[in-house]
Amino acid sequence: MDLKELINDCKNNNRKAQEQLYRLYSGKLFAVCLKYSRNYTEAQDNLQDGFLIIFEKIGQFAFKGSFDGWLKRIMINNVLQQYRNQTFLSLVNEDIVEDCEVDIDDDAISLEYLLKIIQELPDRYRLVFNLYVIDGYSHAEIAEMLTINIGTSKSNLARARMILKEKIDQLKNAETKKFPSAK
Amino acid sequence: MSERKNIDRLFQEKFKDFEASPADDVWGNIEAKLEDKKQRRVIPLWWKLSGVAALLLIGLLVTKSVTNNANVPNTNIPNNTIVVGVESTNSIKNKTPDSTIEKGTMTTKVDSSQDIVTNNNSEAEGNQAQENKPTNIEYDNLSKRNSVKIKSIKSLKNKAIAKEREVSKSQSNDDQKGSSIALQNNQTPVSDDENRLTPSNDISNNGKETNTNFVPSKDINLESLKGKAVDAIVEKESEKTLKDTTKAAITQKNPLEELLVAQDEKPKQESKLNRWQITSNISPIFSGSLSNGSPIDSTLVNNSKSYNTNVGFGLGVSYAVNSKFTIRTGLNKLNMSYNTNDVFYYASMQTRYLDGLSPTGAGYTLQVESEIHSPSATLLPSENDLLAFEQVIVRKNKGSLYQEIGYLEMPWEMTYAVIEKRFGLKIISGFSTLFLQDNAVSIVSDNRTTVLGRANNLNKVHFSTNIGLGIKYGFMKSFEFNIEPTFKYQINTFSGDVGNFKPYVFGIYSGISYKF
Repeated sequence: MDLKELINDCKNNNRKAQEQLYRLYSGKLFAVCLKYSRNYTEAQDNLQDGFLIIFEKIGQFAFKGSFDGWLKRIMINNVLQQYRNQTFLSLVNEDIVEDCEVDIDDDAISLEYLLKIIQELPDRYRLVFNLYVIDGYSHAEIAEMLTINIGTSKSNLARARMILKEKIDQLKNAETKKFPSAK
Repeated sequence: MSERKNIDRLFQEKFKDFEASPADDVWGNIEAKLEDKKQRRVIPLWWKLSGVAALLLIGLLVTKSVTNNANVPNTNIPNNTIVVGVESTNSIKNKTPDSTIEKGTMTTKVDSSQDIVTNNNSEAEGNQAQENKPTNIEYDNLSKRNSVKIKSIKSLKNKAIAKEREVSKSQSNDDQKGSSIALQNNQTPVSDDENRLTPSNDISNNGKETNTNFVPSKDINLESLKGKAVDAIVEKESEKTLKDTTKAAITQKNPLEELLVAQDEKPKQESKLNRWQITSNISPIFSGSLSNGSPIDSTLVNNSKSYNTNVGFGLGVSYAVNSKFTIRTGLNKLNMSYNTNDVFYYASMQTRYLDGLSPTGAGYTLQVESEIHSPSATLLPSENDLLAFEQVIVRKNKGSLYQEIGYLEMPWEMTYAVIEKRFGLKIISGFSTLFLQDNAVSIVSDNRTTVLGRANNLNKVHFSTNIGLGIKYGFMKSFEFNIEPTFKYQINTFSGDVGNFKPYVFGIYSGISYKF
């Protein structure tokens, strides 16, 4: 079945079409949720809510631009919505940190580990890092989406990078200890 | 071999083609919610309509009974009262069937919720089972059951306490989640509404037909489901049960998550709907009359009245039935006062007391007359013939007649929230019982005020019908600032004929309230 047809069926609330759409995109979108959420459970809740929004709003999709992008934007917005207005978002350190290049040694670090340390980041750091680094939003866009300053966004990103680097280094050290010969 | 690489690049590359498949039952949950949504929207409309109907009914009853009472002493027009009586009973008859039906269904749903849970279970179970294709049964068993649980609980919730769910949702930590879903609701096309009823009918039909075939499996599930359902009812939050089941499924896979789940649950339970609210309010009270008239004397009907702005204050307590509806009562102190302008007064030996006045002290000797009516007043024989000279020698003072009425007001009001966020908008409607406290009539001229007496035609108790608009702004966690411009039309304020004087009160009640 062609995608356009599928979307149109979804617009008509066809349950079969909705299921098919879910099967097609749940993998990709669950990945988005995992990156933006604190843990697996929350990611699954977000996925569920996000799909409900998608089915609700699919009538508004006018076949302009990519459908993938549209879905992803809804997912991200849905997750951001959870965090908006939550006071603990502002509990992260807001001191301006100089933006710095963080280089690390890359071996075969597992995707699972990277995901885990992303999820462990404070909420705002995680959101900013994902939005900027992985999904390619600009600081200006992020500032608007999270209702923060551009400077805050930059500073959050820098801190996120530092935390991630630290954790990756820790992993390295642990591995070196375990297998000293590997180095 | 290790290569130094920018951390951004590392993540970008790793996550470029990252996909992860969620647990199998997520689609089941989504499907259940989609089903659910179809049925859900019918109920709020019913709620709204029944709310409006109930209000109208109450208003009608109060108005009619009060006006009936008022008309009883008026023996001049007995026919009229009879007609009124017939009208009211008719209208009551017309109204009652609707409202009882609504109430009946609502209460049975709430009270026998447990029974319904079981019913719904079996229905949904039956339905599911019928839909199951033989090949799928084994594979889908687990996930289906999950969705069955959810479906049944949800459908019950839906019918009985769809509103509560929204409340607890919006109140819960997942504030935004709630609102985003609510948003979706608003934006779905109307055509959905028509489809909505049919699935529920099908479910119940299928359930009945296949019920008997599935007795054993039903029994097995009943216990666990009951447990769940009761929980859910206590929590009044089917959203949560949904999540719980998801969580439960995950916990089985990964026991380490258990701790996390427990942590997640705690704050949610704490953030239940705060049903009670205490409000303090203070308000400027603008009083007035819808038509000309004077409760004090028939000769003063055409005199201009100037109404004074007084201050009212009070305390209130409200109980949230659900996120939208709140009932509230309280105790307010309010004063109304107005001046009847263009009167003159003079000391007289033979005073014609004002109709609505029981004179005290100086009131016995002061004659008050309307300037507008004075030409005709001079024609009255009784005073002027006997003491004609008095007219000439007596000094007539110009002034105004000041009537002050103070009440203790006990409102019974119902509010319906149109917007329920940090900023909120609600419609207020109800009635008040007012107990007469202060009652004084005095004459005011440039340099003095003399108390004439008390109005004798004020009822000790009367009512008002209230309608208003409430605006609130929440600050801190459980405090709200309220402004409620409210119009209160007074009914049965005066006994007897008061020259068509129809008083009302308009107050802008502002205050701070505390939720708990």
